[in-house]
Amino acid sequence: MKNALLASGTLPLHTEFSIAGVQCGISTNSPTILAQLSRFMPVVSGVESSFSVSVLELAVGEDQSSDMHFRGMNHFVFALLGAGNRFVLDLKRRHAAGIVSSEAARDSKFWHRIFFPIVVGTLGATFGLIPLHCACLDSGGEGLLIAGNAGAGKSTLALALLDYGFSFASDEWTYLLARDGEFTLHTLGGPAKLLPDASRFFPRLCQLGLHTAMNGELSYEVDIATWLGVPPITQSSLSRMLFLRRVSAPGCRFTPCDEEFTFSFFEQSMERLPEELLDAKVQRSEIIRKMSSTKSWILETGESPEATAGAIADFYKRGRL
Amino acid sequence: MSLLLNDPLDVLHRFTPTPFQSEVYLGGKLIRAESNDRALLPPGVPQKSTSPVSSRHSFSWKLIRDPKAPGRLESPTKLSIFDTVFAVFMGSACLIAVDLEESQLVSFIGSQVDTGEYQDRVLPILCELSDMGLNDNRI
Repeated sequence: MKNALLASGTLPLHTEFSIAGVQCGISTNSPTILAQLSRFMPVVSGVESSFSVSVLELAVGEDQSSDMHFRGMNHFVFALLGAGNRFVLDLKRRHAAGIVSSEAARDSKFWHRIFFPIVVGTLGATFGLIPLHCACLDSGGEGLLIAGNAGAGKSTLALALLDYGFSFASDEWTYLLARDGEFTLHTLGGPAKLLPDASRFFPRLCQLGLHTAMNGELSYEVDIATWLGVPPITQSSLSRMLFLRRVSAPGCRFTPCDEEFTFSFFEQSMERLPEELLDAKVQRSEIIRKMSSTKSWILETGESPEATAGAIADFYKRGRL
Repeated sequence: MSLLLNDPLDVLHRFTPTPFQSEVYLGGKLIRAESNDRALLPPGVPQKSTSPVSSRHSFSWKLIRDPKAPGRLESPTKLSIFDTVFAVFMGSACLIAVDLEESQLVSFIGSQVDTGEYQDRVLPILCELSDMGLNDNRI
């Protein structure tokens, strides 16, 4: 049996990085991996890591399947991320360990768009970093979260709001970090993903090819730095929230919502955690409870993304949002 | 027969019911196994005595038959993660993790792994990993 040694002291290289507002220690045998990670994560030192990763670059056997496959039980999560890339996440020890092919090792997109979103999203609950399925815009350092069910149009609306003075942070996943009573919003700076019908509102999308996402969906991947000429915002403070609902009636209606609505919306959308992770589950609920006091509205819209973005900007200007 | 329920908030299949249970001695050690597939429960000598067995000398196995796991068994790759934590991958068709501190082993086994393959290729690995914990030895 091939045995990959990943325990402490067996991997010669170690670097601490900052990602999503927390520190992550990486141990590896591969300078290539550290070079790729430093392209999108600053190197840091001095504080305690929130989580750690040990990863071994290894030649891929010929019989290795190329599936993406995820399973979890107790405090373990298995992640198979394409040919030769096998990981186990240990939520009790806040640690991810695995092996990668040389092809993945030198592919910064693998690390930036696949590996770290999965690891941060999975381990985050154990150190107070909560993944929210929300778009995030920034205006003068104040973060606006846009929540909504799949297909509500969060991504398209996020791009439309850029014409109204908002800065782009995320269109899909935003990470809420609770530290010292403050809530900060973080993103991983990945591309925006828009469904094919978004090209009706943004014809420029047609110049981009359609990609198949991990969930099998076809989408346009928009590199925000290229699209806008400026990189996306990666940190903001939580200021306001909108719950987006598509309706058939024309117009845009803003209805204030109470803490209980907000709490229930997020609590019910969270991945279930097993009893072994009771502390993380309780901590996550407490964070969601506290963030639910943020000013929030339900936005029902029967309008186009542009018109809806205009209504939000107008509502903002009038100081009601 | 296996059970696998779909829950949109349980994308990792953590909460698959495991109604089939057994307690058997393997190599003189007590294995408390639970599964959604009776065929995955380890063969062995059923526990006859009602005398208590300390948790230090027993091991918990959770074995999930996973009809959605694609592919057939591949040659095993073992990850030695900590002194007390190991994982073995045999493709998507078989995933194993063991925590010796907790005396816990979990495994997902795909539907294309038949009973013969399971007993010949997977079960020995489960026993080996658990035996490490029960004897407090290291491979």
